[in-house]
Order: sequence, then structure tokens, then C-alpha cells
Amino acid sequence: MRKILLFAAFALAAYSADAQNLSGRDIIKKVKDNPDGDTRYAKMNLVLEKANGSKRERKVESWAMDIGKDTKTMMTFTYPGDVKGTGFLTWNYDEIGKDDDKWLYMPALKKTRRISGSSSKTDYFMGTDFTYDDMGDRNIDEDTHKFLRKEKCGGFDCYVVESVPKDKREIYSKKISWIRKDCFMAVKVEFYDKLGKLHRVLNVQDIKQVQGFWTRGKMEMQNVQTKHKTIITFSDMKYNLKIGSDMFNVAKLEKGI
Amino acid sequence: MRLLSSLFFVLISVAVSAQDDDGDLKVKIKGFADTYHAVRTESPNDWMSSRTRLRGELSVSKNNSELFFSANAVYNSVIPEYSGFNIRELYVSQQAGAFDIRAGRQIITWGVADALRITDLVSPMDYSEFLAQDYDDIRIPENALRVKYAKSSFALEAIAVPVIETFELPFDRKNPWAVSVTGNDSVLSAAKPDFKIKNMEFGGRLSWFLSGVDFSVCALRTFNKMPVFEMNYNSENHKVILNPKHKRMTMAGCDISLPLGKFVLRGEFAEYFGEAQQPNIYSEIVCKNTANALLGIDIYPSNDWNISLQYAHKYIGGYDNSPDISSYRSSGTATVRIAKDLFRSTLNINTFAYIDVTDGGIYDRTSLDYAVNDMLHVMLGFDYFNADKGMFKMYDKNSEIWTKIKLSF
Repeated sequence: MRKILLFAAFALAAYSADAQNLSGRDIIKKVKDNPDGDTRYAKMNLVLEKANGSKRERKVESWAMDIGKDTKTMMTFTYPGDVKGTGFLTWNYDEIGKDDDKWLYMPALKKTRRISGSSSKTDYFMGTDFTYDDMGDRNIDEDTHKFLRKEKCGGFDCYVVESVPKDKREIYSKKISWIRKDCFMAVKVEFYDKLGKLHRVLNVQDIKQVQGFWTRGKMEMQNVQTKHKTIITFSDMKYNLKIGSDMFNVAKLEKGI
Repeated sequence: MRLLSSLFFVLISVAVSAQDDDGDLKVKIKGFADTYHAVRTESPNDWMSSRTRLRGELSVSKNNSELFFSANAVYNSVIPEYSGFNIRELYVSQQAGAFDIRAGRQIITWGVADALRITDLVSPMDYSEFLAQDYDDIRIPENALRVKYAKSSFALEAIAVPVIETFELPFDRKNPWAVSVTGNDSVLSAAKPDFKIKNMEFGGRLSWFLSGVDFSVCALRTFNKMPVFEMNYNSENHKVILNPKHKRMTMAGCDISLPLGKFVLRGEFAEYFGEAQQPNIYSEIVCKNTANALLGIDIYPSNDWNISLQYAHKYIGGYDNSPDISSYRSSGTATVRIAKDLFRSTLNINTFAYIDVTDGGIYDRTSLDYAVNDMLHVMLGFDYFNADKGMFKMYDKNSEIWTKIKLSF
């Protein structure tokens, strides 16, 4: 979730460094280090659209809190009815190689289950075009980054950076990101499959400041091979809420926030 | 019954209108309607189940107080006695800092096992259709007081149940899932423990949720909620008369969940002190200490596969001194679950098998669940029984195919 809010990133508008002095890693680090408050809240509306135009919808509320470089996240489904109340609690660790801690609350069973923190990263999240890894927070050193060029994208001056995962088990062979120079937010990301073919394209829109933090309002991820796409719209975004780390525990997950 | 259903709708109306008056009041309504029909695959190919249900859940909360109410309105064609309106959960809760106090009829789940009970002894099971129901329908709520104190990495839970609930077992022969111990028996009316304060159920659970491991310890002063039966022969009607009994016992146990990469290991252990044992005919019920353990593994091989394996073992201590016990000294049950999501989670294929390791029987429920749209699911399934003896023998002719249509809101 933090990555969702960070992906498009938040910026230091005054921080207009020149790409010639910044490596690919430097640019991605600035994206990751963009301020996003210590705590965050958002409502997300996810629309899953098939190539034939038929749509399905998911609604989620999400809370997140940074603790050092780690992040604790709570997500609760509010729609549709069959998954309403289902919750995910994630303790996301920045340390490479350390698995996240994850719990799933199933309201029908009144039960919380500990789930694997590592295996599902490459699976798609609830049938969307976003993987669990896309939804999580990725250490920048899990990829090798290379600055490619500068060019305009969506009317904005951008740095173009190629990121190649070091772990060959990742589902993509590389991704290319267009990062806005003025706020270090990605406005477009292309994901390439293991054969080097373009697989998915992310477009980020409606970038604005909320409480002084750069925030994206809409993300569209399209699988260009299947023509399936997922549109996530954010609303009611809030930063620096007065919540403590005690909120991110299993008892809260079961009770709902 | 009409009064109860009217109360339900009045509560909803009051809650919704109250929301208009006071924006701080939060009202959440959810539920579903489903219709379920199952037919026996063997002769006489009769309908095993045919029922339609409306489930409503209402949560009304303000600040740190909450009222929760869930109820079923059911029409059952095969067993009309099961038709009607019934309350599942109805409780109030109050949160104060790290404390959460919940009082009323509620489902309490303990442990980490999946569909097997080692430490999860509080809410009993409804076997009116054996295990051929959704597992969440099988749990019976209890009138209980639960106090929970939860911090970031641990939770302490204390419960007290003034009057316990016991397993719901069908004995009416009109019900294809009727329980029979000997194959030729009749049952005296089920007797709960006396409604006395000394028969209260109480206990606690202390859980830790840490990076890389969860574990709990728990203890419960309870009863064997699944009855054992005193058995005597009635020469007048030539039947064995079963007299169900519940005896006091104490459980002390622990559980652990340990994620290891793509696997999650789960374990539970509990010692039951003074657990009543099923006697042979004409024999007295004896109580023994039993050791109960479960080991499970969840496998997440990615691509939306989900595999779960469990094995539970029971060992009766002091067995040699009690020739009147009809149960085995050691017995084992295993479960296997394999599930796969397809077509972007619109189709779920799931199979869940209970295996009676001791006697070699099996009960497997395989289903296809297709999401027509956000609200509507259509399910098709097959329940397969095969046993020459043991716990599944009485349902050996109950294999069935079933369909369910469910609309959630």
C-alpha cells in the first residue's frame, strides 16, 4: 500500500536535480524517500475491466504507518458483499531477504490466519492487474537501476529509468519508469515479461498535493497482452493521522478500525 | 418468531434513522441470500437438502461502543423443523483503550487449526447436516462475556460462559444426516449440564504476534460438548437406548504458527484432563486424560494455488485400566485442502477432504465457485463419502451432488 501511495510519489518541488548528476539508483531513491507523512489513510476503488468491457469492482480502506524504514499496513474490504470485512494486516520490512509478516482475517469464520509473507508477491492481488509486490514496498536495492534518458511524458519533463530485478524469480524481466523531474513521481511504468515483451503498462493521473504531500488520484494498470486493465481511484486521502502502532495488531484487524 | 423478525427490522430502521440524526453513528449492514439443494447420488436419489436462507448482519456503533446482530431466516423443505427465524450472534461491545469487552451471544474461535478442534473448544458445532454445510454455519454461538486486552504484539483474552451450548446432533430419521451410534438405537432427550453457577465455562488465552512467529497458551474449564452416550438395550422395542452425557473437563493447550518462506507451519497441542470417553454397551462412562495434537502445513506455491495439509492425533491415557472404553487408544484424522483461483479470481476450484486415518474412511467436498458478477455466485459441488467403519460409516450412502446460488450484499 505504501508503494501505491509512493509509486507516483511525493515531492520536493525545489529538488530539481539534473539527471547528469543523478544515477538511476539516485532517482529511484528520491522517489522512495519522498515525504508521505508518518501515517496515511485512503479509500480505494478498484475497477477490473475485461477486454470485452465487462467490469467488476472492489472497494478497500487502507491505513499505513511508517516505523523507521518499515511500514505497517491494514487493509479492509468494504465491497463487494462476499468479501466485505475481510482484512489484511502486513508488517512490511525494508531489509532485503526478510519476509513480511502477514495476517488475513476472514469474517465469516471469525478467524485470523497467519499467511506466507513471501510467496504471494508475484501473484495478482484479488484478480487485479497489480501484483502483491506492486502493492507493497520494495527495497530499491532489489533491482539494478540505470538512467536511460530525459524526455517528456504526459506533458511533464521526466527522467527515464530502467530497473532490472536481481531475483530472477520475479515475473518481469525489467521495468522502465518515467519519473517527473519536478516531484519525483512516476507517471508511467512499463513492465516487460521474461521474454522481454511489453506485459503491463501503468499510467498515473490526477497528481495533486494533499496536506502538502504530492498524491496521485488515479492509477490505471493495463495488461497489454490480455487487454485486461485495473483502474484504482483514491479518495479521502489523509496524512499524519493521530494513530499509534498499537492500531496495527491482530485484535484491531479482527474488530475492524 | 414473528416478534424476533419484527425486532430485527425495527432495529435496522431505528439504526438507519438514527444515522440521519447523528452523523457519528455508524451503521453497517451486510448479508446474503442463498438457496442450496443437494441430491443423493445413490439410490433412492432423494433430496438430501433443499433450503433457502436470508442472512442479515447489522453493526451499529458510536465512538467505542458497538451493537452487533446477525440472524438467519430459513425455509427448509426437507426438514421443516429447521425453517424459521433464528438469531446467530447478538452482542454489545465496548472498547476502552487496549481493553475490548464483549457481552452476548457470540462465536469464539481459538487455535490455528483448520476445521479440526484441538484448543478451539468454546463454540460447539452444529451437525444438523454433518459437515455438508459451510464451516462458518457449523459454529454455534454462546452467551458469553469476553474481555480482551490487546497491545501491538500480544493479546490476553478471558471468557466466561454462564450456560454452555452443546453440539447440535440430529437424531430424527427423517434427516438423512441423523446420527446413529449402533445403527439400531433411539435417543433419550439430550441433557445439558444443570443451569448452575458451578457449571460455568471459563478460561483464557494469551497470544503473541511477533515477527516470524505467532504462539498462544490457553486453558479452559469446560465440558465435553460432543456428548458421549450411555447405552442400554431395551428388550421391548429391541433397540439400544442412548443417553447423552456431558461431563466436566479441563483443557490446557498451546498453538503456534510459523511462516517459513512459501510455507506456514501450524501446530496445536492440548491436554484434556478428565475427558469423558464413549463406553461400551451397559458400561459406565469413564473419564481419562487425553493428549491431543495437530500439525499442519500451508503451502503457497503461487499462481493462486493454495494447499493445506493437517494431521491430528488423540491418545487416551490410562487406557489399559479401562476395558469399557469403546474408543481406540490412539486415533488420527487428517485433512487435505487444495484450492486454485482461475480467470482472475472469478472461478475457484476447491477440494477439502477429511480422512479418518484410524478406520480408513474419507469425506471429501469438492466445489466450483463461479462469480457471475460482484454480488452473485453460482456453486456446484460433490460430497463423497467412503467408509467401512469409523466416523464416516453412518454416512456411507450420503454422497451427493449439490448446487448453491448466493447473492451477497
